Amino acid sequence: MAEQLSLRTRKRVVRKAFRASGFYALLGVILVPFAFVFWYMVSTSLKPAEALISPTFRWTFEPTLANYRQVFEQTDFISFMFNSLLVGFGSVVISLVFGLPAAFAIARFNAPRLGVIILSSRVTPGITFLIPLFIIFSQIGWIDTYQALIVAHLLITLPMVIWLMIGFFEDVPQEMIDSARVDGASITVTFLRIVLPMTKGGIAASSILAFIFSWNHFMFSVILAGRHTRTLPVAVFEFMAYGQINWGAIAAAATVMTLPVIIIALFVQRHIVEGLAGGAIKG
Amino acid sequence: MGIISRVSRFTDRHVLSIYVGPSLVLLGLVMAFPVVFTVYLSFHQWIGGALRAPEFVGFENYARIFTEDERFRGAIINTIALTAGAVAAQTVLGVALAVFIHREFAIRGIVRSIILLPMIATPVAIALIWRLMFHPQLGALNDLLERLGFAPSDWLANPNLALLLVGVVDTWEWTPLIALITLAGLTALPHDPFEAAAIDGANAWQRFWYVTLPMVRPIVVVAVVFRLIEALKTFDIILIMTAGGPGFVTETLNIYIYNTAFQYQKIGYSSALLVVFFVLVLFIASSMLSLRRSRG
Amino acid sequence: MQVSDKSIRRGAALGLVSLMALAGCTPATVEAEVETDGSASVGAEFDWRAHEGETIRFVAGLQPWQEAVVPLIAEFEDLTGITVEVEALPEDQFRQRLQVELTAGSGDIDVFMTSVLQDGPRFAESGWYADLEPFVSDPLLTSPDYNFSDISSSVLEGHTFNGVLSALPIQLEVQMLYYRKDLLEAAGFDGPPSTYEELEEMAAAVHDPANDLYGFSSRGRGAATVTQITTFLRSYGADYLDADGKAAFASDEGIEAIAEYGRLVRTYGPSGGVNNSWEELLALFQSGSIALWSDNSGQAAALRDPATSSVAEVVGYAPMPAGPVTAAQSYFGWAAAVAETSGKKEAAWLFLQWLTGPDVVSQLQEQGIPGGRVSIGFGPDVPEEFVTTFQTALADATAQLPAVKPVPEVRDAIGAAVVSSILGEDVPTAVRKAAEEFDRIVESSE
Repeated sequence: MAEQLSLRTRKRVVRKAFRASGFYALLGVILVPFAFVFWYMVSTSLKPAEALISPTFRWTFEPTLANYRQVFEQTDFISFMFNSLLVGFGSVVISLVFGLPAAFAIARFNAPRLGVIILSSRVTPGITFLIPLFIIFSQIGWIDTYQALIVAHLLITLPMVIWLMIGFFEDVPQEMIDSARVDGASITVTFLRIVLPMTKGGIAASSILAFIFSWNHFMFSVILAGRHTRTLPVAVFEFMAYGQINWGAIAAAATVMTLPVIIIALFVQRHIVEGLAGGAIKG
Repeated sequence: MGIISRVSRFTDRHVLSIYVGPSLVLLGLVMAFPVVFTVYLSFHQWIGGALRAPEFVGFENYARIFTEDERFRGAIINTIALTAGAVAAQTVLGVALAVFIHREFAIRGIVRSIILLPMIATPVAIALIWRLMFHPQLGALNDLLERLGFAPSDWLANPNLALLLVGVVDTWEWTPLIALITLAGLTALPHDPFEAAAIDGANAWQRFWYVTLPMVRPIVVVAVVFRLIEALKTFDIILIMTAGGPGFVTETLNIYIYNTAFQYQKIGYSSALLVVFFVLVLFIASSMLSLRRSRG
Repeated sequence: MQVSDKSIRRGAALGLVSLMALAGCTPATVEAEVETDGSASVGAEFDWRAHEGETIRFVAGLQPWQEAVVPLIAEFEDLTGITVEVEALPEDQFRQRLQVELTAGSGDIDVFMTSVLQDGPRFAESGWYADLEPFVSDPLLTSPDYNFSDISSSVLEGHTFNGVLSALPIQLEVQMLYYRKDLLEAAGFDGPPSTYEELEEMAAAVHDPANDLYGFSSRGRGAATVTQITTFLRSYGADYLDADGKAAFASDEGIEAIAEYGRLVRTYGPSGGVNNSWEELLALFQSGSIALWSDNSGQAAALRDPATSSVAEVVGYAPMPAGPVTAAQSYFGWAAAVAETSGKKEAAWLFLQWLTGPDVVSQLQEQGIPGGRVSIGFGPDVPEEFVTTFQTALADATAQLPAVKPVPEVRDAIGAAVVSSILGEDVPTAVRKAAEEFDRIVESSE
């Protein structure tokens, strides 16, 4: 009897191990396409010039930091990064100040139509705004200013913050709000003292997502930014000069551009998942 | 005490206007002029920018769009094909991926992080890297093909493949969004229905099809609607990988509008195209939203 | 609540729109300001320092010319006391930026690079070029050393629209044939091809795709091909326009020319040819993969640079070969202009005349970048063969683009036909369709 049991147990253990290794094998296969592109980006950025212009693809090579040196020497990369940070931070902060109350009111005071109106601002393609915004900004002397870029990026970050936070605010249990009201607190006090702290996770998630979208935005950068306010995505194009496409430097620029966002993302990936789910489940 | 409570009561009574008003006004201000300006220009021809007044042409632009413009028709077809195909693929793959990794295993956090990457990286940078990968001579993919014994491909230079490849890159980039939303939804699901189904003798596939999917569908639909609206506007990756080519096979409506405005300088005509585009997207978005609401 | 929001928005929008229409009035007032600004006419003679302390903005595309000129700008700033803010962007972004700024009439741009073949007619009609004639002919505004007559008059004609001198040439290019001296010699040929038959013979002899060596290549990416097929068209006896300004390239000769171009690119070029423009082909030639390459002369500097080109020592230069009818040559050019909306036209003119003046042009020409001045030759470092080829080609060269207004749109239409040809599709149908499109586009732009 004891021997039979251990045989069955052994078989089950083996089958489980098989399934587990099968799972991990399949998982590995699935992850390859995701990771390969990033490996490709980083390895290209480390390739010396002669490996890049070789007529056949080189899988092995002597890594060099020359491309990164080029990126930092030939372009004002640090100031681009600073600009991207400033614009992203600025537009997210303003989006929170305006968007959190808006999302709260839409969520708890039964105004889903307003939510849809706000989402509809995401429907217009970016091109619609280029010339008109340029005209307005040049009339009021705002070309090549941070405030102009921040206002333009608000079109991206504000609707996103509102749309995502509606879900989180809907999640807050009615009892918490009711008990606060019974105690005589006004809506504003309830909002500030009770609701906001409860939705900290969601606020973090939507701010970070909005920041990422602002950081990655390219079109407004080219037109509305000037020499002093140019943001990161434009930097990549500086290496596509007449004369050659400098793939090594482009890859290096791409890596440096993506790195901060990836680091932020890795640290807060749990919050991001919550943010997306929260917005989706109720939104 | 008196003033504060009076202000509080005032805000309480007008919550919607005070809380939502500022956002609406802010968005409205930034959007109002561009949208009105675009509609206004769509009825004009405008050469010379601010130095010359636009010339009123009535509905001529719109007439030309719908009767003469072959590139417009091509652009609409490309837009719909690319969007429908890519979003469909992203939905299927995303849901499958979510179900696949919805279990306890050691490196769960790391896996989620890796899957997040494509969605977070700068589209401009990613598109450039993909373009290099697809390069017939310099890229890694043809090298791989040859080593495996296959013939090299033209990739993006092949007019039959180009649009498909753009869809592949778009899918690579955005499947994580669907996957992660679905995964979060799966995590929030109650366990009882699954246990009940397992006790009733349902196998894994039946459990998935008859229990999991229906329960997670509302969440997936919301993600898909959001993704659909964005996908119709896909711009960066197309501009960088193919610029609408070869020929016009990857020219979507957004790219065509861009070319008309910035290459050809036909601001009036591009404004009319923008209005048509806007109406199209609004129509698709609102029909998807009403579909979601009716399904509950 | 929302209704009143909407009407406020509408009112604001209308207000802004009328503001913008008023913006159209500013150039006139700006002109008046320039005239009453008498600082230049206070002295009795030309003075480089007349606008000391001002700042002007120069918008350029990334180009060999721009790369060579920007380090020299410090000399101008020392000479005049004017600060120059240079904004150099990659060509696509440069075009976009220029378009938006000039359309919005912002007045921030003072001097900008422009391609008169590509943009000239449209920009001129939009009134974006300032008339340079009054500046050139005013001895108080133009340095006595400028020597305006040194600039080729036929080139100047191409820069004049409706009698208005709109821009001055800064860089001239001709289409030429780059060839690998070592490969041709090894295959038993004693020089570059002089006819397209010889070209094919040589390309076929060295073509070895298994070893990453391609016999002949040229641009294949849609609109970019149009400047390169001009010589083919004319060598086969066709042209873009007929006497009435209608598309003439769908003639039998034109169809044959485009078919031949496509066939050569497809047969002897690297795969994926329809996505190749000069950027890709330059890289391939530099890495030694192409034996014969036809493109514009501006690529030569990069080919000669040993730091990036593995074939720097063995590059040869030849004029475009002959077809059945003639050995047609073609030219392209970049120019610089003063923006009509600029509020600092006199300071801008100082910069422009310095850019196109004998001093700067000879410095650039020594590096192999030809300006439009007849008297200035290339420097001693520039290979003899290049100089001869350039001068031979330029002597017979015609414009690389058709003289119509909607050039970019027309380029896309013709480019689509060339792409069809390279892909081996039905060439006559594609070319005829392109010709119809051409006529429709030109007509609707009138």
